[in-house]
Amino acid sequence: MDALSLDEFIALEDELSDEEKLVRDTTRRWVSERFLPIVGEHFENATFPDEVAREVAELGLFGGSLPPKYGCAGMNQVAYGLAQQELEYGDSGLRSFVSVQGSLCMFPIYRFGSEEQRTKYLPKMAAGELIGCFGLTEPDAGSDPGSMKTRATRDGSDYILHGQKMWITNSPIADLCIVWAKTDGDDAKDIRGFIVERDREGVECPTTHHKMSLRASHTGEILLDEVRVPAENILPETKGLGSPLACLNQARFGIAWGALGAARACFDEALAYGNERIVFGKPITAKQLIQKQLADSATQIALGQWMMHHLSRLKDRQGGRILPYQVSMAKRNNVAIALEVARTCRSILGGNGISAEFASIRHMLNLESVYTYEGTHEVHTLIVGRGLTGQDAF
Amino acid sequence: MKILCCVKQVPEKDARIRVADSGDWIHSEGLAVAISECDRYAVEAALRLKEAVDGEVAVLLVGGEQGSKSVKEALAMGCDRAIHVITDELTRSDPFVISKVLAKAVEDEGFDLVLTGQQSDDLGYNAVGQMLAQHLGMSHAQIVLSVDPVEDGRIRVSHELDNALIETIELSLPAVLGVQSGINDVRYASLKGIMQANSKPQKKVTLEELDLSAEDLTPKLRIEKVGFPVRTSQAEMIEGDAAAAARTLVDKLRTEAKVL
Ligand SMILES: Cc1cc2nc3c(=O)[nH]c(=O)nc-3n(C[C@H](O)[C@H](O)[C@H](O)COP(=O)(O)OP(=O)(O)OC[C@H]3O[C@@H](n4cnc5c(N)ncnc54)[C@H](O)[C@@H]3O)c2cc1C
Repeated sequence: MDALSLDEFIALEDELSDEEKLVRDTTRRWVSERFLPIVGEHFENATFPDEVAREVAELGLFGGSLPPKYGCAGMNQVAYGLAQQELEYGDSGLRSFVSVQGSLCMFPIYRFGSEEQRTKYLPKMAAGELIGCFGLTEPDAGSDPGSMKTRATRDGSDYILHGQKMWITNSPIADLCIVWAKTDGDDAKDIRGFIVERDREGVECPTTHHKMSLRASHTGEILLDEVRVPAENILPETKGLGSPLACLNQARFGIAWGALGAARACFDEALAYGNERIVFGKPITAKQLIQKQLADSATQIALGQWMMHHLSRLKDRQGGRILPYQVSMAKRNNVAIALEVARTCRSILGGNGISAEFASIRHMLNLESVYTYEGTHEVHTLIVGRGLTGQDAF
Repeated sequence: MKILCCVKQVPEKDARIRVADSGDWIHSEGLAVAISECDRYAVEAALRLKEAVDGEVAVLLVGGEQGSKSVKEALAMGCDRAIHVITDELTRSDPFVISKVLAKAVEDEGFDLVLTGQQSDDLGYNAVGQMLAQHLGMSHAQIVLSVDPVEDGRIRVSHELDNALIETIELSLPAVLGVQSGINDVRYASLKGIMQANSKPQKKVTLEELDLSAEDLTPKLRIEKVGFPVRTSQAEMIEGDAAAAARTLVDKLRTEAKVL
């Protein structure tokens, strides 16, 4: 019998508008022509192709769901999600680059910033002329960001920021940092967001080395040594921990889509490889055990797709909002299944599966970061658990 | 310069193609579709000409409702307006009928230059452009590699001849050109452009509105059967020393396989 494609199982093609399909296809074409040929080498060398920033910006991928009046594409949630999926088909580092700029830096300026801040920063960030990073995590505050130590002390018309942020994507190349710090007291409700330009005195962003995951991505620290910023740099609408979490929820939604792209890349590779790989006189895809692995992987990818389409349409209908519990459920599930799919596909490739000449091991290693950042798998388990029981188990 | 670009929508390049039960066509339900490869290069060439000499680029597509995806892509790339002849009847039609429909859709528009792809990814007849030029009474060149405007309503065109010869000629406008793939770097439609494509003028006409004669709509060609090439395991060993074997190989590639 002629084989079906996984897309025929998923059968969403006719559910998409022309615009949604074009966003997907255009991002896919760009990733396959411009990014896939170079990513393997960057991963091995632990570098990121900074030159793609301009092309990503020209395509309109930065802040893609924000309004056109700030130079953004104004995509709906389905189109936005499909784009994230195609980016992560390339590499989780590429999707992270775009997520951080859009969901973690442009979004807070859009959502919590003044109109003046929006017009000052958003068009330049959409154009890739300014690159941002998002500083929440600290050496002693990851899953529990409410316990952060970074302080912003009022001094006349300025604030003095002092503290240390670590594991910050893009910090080594950032022009501006969205820094979260406590202002008046030591409570999570005292957390406010600040725009800190990189060239201010006392700011340093050293690179974090020795990463075995997300190697094609800049990661670093933000060291703030008595950094003086004018009060106009505060994001006026930020109030407590809920503000950075609102940004994270935007990004997590994109990750839930993106992880499916990484899984799909591994699945496509393993299926194509398995069809050609003859063992004991037959392609390995003719073996029951391999078929089970493919069936499990395909089922998980399809379930993830159906979930994200539903949640995205819901988000569009509800003016951009869904329950944070729904986002947690999606991020938790899709990253976990992507990691499982990547490991399975890597094994289908046999010895070749550990070579960076193939994509599966790269995705597998990357997904370990994705599993941990933006709320670890366990943290999302606890969020969903709290939603289901009404009881806090943190 | 008024430029028209004819664009065909075909199954995506890596789409899983299966033969329909009828045996004379492919299974097309839920199939991802895209602009045919050569036509993309034609759109890019048209946009570059417009940027060089000023004017407008219109895109023309004949096909079902789903053709709107490709129409919008061309608009998002930078075309100014679109004409979409909406019909489900002509998917399997032959170059004669298609070229008649294309000609009729634009005969009163007064285009200076009409670009088509050299051939389509699916049926690959390589004949629509030539026939269109005939119907519209325009000059014509095929396998076009570059187009440059020169004065007095003329253009300079270089195109491929047999044996990889390249000829450069001057043509008087109006003209129809069949564009070869790979001649330029095709731009990506921006996502912003995609989201705003719908704000550009799109004229939709039905086949009935074009008022074609029964003869114009009668194909000269009928598809009886489609299928995949049968896999065979014929292999031929070329004997002899390396230089002689290489010569034989080149000769066979040229005369038997006809790929050189
Ligand atoms: C490559 C990469 C890029 C990153 N980019 C950014 C960025 O741009 N900006 C930013 O602010 N941060 C970033 N991070 C940081 C990331 O968000 C944190 O690493 C993450 O939140 C976990 O925090 P932690 O590392 O301190 O782990 P910890 O909080 O110390 O967690 C350690 C372990 O304990 C578990 N755990 C924690 N609490 C509980 C509990 N209550 N019950 C059971 N188990 C629990 C966790 O799930 C985990 O398994 C990045 C991280 C990586 C790896």
